[in-house]
Amino acid sequence: MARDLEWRKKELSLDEVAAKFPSFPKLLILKIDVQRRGVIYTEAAQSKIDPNIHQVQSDGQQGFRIEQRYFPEGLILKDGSYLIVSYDYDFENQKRDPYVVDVIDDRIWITDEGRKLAEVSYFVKPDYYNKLASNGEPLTKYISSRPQRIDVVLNQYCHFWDRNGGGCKYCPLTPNYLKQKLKEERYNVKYIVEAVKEALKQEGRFSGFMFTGGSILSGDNVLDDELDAYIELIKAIGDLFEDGKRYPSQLISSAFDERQLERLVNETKLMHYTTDIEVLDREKFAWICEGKNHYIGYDEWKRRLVASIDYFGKGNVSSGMVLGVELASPNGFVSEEEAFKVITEEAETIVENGISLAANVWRPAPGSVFQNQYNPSLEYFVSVYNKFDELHHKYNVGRYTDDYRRCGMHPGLDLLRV
Amino acid sequence: MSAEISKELKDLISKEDTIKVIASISPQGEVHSAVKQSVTVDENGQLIYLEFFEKSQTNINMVNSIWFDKNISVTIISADNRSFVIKGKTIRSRVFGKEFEKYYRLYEEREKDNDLVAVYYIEPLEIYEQTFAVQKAQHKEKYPLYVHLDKYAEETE
Repeated sequence: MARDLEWRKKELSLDEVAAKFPSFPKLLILKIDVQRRGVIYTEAAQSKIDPNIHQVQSDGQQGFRIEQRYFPEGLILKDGSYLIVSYDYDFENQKRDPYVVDVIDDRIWITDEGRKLAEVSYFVKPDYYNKLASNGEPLTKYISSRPQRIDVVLNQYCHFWDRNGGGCKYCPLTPNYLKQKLKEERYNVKYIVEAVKEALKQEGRFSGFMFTGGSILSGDNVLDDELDAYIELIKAIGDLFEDGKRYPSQLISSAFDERQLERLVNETKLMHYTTDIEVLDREKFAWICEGKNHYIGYDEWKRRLVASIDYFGKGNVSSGMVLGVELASPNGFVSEEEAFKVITEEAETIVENGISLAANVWRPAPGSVFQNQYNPSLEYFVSVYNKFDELHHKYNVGRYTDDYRRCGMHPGLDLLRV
Repeated sequence: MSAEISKELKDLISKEDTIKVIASISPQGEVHSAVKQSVTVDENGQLIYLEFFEKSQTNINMVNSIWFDKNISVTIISADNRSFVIKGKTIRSRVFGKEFEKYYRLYEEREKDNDLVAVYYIEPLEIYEQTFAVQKAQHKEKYPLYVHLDKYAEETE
């Protein structure tokens, strides 16, 4: 797909969207748009990156970015929040122009067409970086930092990809795993715990854990092996904390059934459970998340999500989604108006149960099946985020695990700061 | 345009018996004020405000001030009842990083339970003294006719 030189004339600009949504902070609209359009760095901006100081690509867990090694994991904005931008940028197949991080008067700015939009700085890496596990491997192979959350990706490969066409079409993680010819599908929990112990020595840095990984379908029943793997991990890290007390932790896993949820809640000190429904429409889900649909199905995934409230409690369950992918071609919605109506109505049937929705901005990622697609307008994303915020307030659903401190991938949830 | 905080005022702000009050505007447009003893001045002449509660009204309003470019004010009240007002612009917030950790440790040393949430950097825009006697003299000089006749007669005798 060649760059569309006229794209700016075909959709509302950042300023126009900000004028249309005056109660939506313009800084958040910019965050959404940076994720939507992507970002590149001038040489001057790259020269400001010091790998000895700043958090650049981790040594392990290279899921989203395998082409560009030394770029910041993210950008810190003036409101203290940050943008995760640790992904590859496809220079050849972008329909829109990216934002440009540049240096002006010795300060680092997000710019567009030379206009300064927001001053930013780069993440300073945590103290555990550059340290080694007892096996000599870098600790960053086993955990990563975002930057106040310790992230553990337990299984590097997603078995929905075992079936032809089974992988989620927006996801680059398993394709990138295969492209890198990686062999170590799952890391030894012993080394993950060593990394966590070292990270916890840094006072004032971390405020929670996120555990996730590719789906594991094997076991006596589907997902039993995935459950066993997470229980081993969450228990091992839980042993570092006070007996009997749940610790600030989030699991993002496949959708477990009631028997599996009961084991998860009883055998670990996990605090928060997330299972990502990804696409808020049964038909689009079946096409985009073929593997999830084949093994579990949209209705059952949603039912299990709601059922998990009985185990973890209201406020401790959430679901992620890839906002905008419902408009992918050729089988997605054909108009943003129709997509908005369908997914916001469906969202309410989830949020009304006390489940929050953490929506990522869909950015057609290099390596994914949808890599050359064209994501929706900025106006669409802001409209949906605005509606989701209304729903979160209407049903008094707070948000802890994917907020501006702990994740950085869900700019719409920043609205819950005020 | 920045205003410079005088050495006298810096010294006053650093005293433990000085009261510091932040006034800010909520997203709904309501004024909120609260005593915040964690206001200091850094080496660059910026006000530093350390917030310890994520969901305090002041924290919410400080975020609002950054998002919607709303100024805040800090009132400084000395032990001998002198008072000063610093109007300011919240220019940035940090919730992690080396500078954040410096303040985190500093306040943890003061009280183990302190759990810093955010550091706010405030650029002073305007500073004036509001001590009653000073304000009275300034007002009389600038607006001599805003006075009742009995007082006016006494003053002109």
